Amino acid sequence: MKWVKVTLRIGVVSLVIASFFFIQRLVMPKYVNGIVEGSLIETYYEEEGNHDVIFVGDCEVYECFSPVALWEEYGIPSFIRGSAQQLIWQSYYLMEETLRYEKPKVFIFNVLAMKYNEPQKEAYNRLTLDGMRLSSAKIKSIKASMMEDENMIDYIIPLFRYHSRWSELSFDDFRYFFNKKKLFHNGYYMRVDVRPVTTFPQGKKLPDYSFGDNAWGYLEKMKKLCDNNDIDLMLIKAPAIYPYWYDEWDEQIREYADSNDLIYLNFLDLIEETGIDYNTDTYDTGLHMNLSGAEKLSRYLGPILREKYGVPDRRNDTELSRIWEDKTTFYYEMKAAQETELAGK
Amino acid sequence: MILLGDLMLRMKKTCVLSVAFIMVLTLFSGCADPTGSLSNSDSETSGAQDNEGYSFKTSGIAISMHDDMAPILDKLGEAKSYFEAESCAFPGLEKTYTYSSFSLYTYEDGDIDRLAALVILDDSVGTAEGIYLNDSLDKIIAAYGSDYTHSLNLYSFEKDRMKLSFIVEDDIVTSIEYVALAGE
Repeated sequence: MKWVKVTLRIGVVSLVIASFFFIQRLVMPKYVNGIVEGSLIETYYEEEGNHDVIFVGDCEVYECFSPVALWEEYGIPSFIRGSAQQLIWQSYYLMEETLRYEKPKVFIFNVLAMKYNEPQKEAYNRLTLDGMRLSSAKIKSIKASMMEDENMIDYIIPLFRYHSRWSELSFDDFRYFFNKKKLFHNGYYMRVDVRPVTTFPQGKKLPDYSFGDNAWGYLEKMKKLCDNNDIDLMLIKAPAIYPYWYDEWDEQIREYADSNDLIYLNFLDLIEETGIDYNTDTYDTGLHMNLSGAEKLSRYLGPILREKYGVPDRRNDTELSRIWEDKTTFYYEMKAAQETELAGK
Repeated sequence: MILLGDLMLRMKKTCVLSVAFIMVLTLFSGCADPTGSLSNSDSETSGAQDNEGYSFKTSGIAISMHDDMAPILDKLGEAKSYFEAESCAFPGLEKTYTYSSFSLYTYEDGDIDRLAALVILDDSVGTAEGIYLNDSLDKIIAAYGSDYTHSLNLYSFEKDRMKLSFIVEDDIVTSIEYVALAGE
């Protein structure tokens, strides 16, 4: 009878654990409609690695660069590990976590996040942290990101945070319980619509333009992580006109890049070279690029990755080409669908 | 069979206790936000209340932080420029209305746009207490007292869910900003 007892006990415990994870999965936001950006981070785990270039940063990376364009034109496999208002320590821990899966040749970091020296808001944290798999990097990222009134356990076991969504569950929570619909292109969030820049507010005067010690500390950690793993670190500032990017900030990044022998590209200063046209290349009056803008930036970036970092053309790799063929097909299907939708409006 | 029945009863107890334990943990943890939603206003300012903080006066109206923007915009007329920024993480817009001498920034509180910040742009307008750009620190202290917080060159006066801040450089006021604060 002992084996029956043990089997039953294991069965009961398994059932309880399974129920727990079932409920947790059910009540967690699915981010497939509306704020789809909440799904960005987890899409990385569907990949098989093999990326030569990994972007990290906020919306200025996942809406301004097209990995498919980089592949099609230069044979550079890349992935964007971006998320909404991704803070620099979150970017750093994503880099650290990435190294568990693969070793890219170049990490590209968008420097807008340097403006934040401390955690900002739980809701933004969630959009990055909830999508990460449990790992030491995730735990360190949670620790660095938590607001004063938050608990680590609420991030590690999200059911504690989301249990009250029980009464708000919608059809989508069941529909996308197992699999979410595919929304992104190697971390790129596609938008083909156009809404030109008409005006933008000047930056408010700040009492101090110096980046904070915490932000500097994580930039330094990024550099060390790259150095220790023989990976190049590239700094960029996407050509988004808002939030305002101050000259004083730009100068600090330039000085850091110069003294650490890093390439820093401020695309706000490269409008002519990239061909960005704020009448046609943005879908939200200059905050983010649309597909046309993202492809222009990628076309400009490709040769730099090739020449400065020696990132090779891998289109001769049969297996990789097959993978990217599927990605490219999905890319153009979504592009066509969005254009059709726009034409119908 | 009796033994098996007893065993089943024990297992049932274990199961019920485990589920109960999970439920208790779940219910009593992270209950700060009973809606479970992650709305844009969850740590921002929210809700209409009487605003007793410092107000900005122009064109015969008093403008306070957290005020409903609709009647303010009606009275002020068309702005010189308007800019809106969609949040990357939430539905809704942050709007900026720039008039000739000041800019107004909004936040969303449900269906209502409320005033999040006001920045004075030139010395043709000042605070209701008579401070203008290019005034001195002494004049600020004479108008608002010395109960301020001071960090670098920023002098801030908090009052009822709002903050009035002055940047003072070389004893000259170079920035005046009203900001809505979170909290009840």
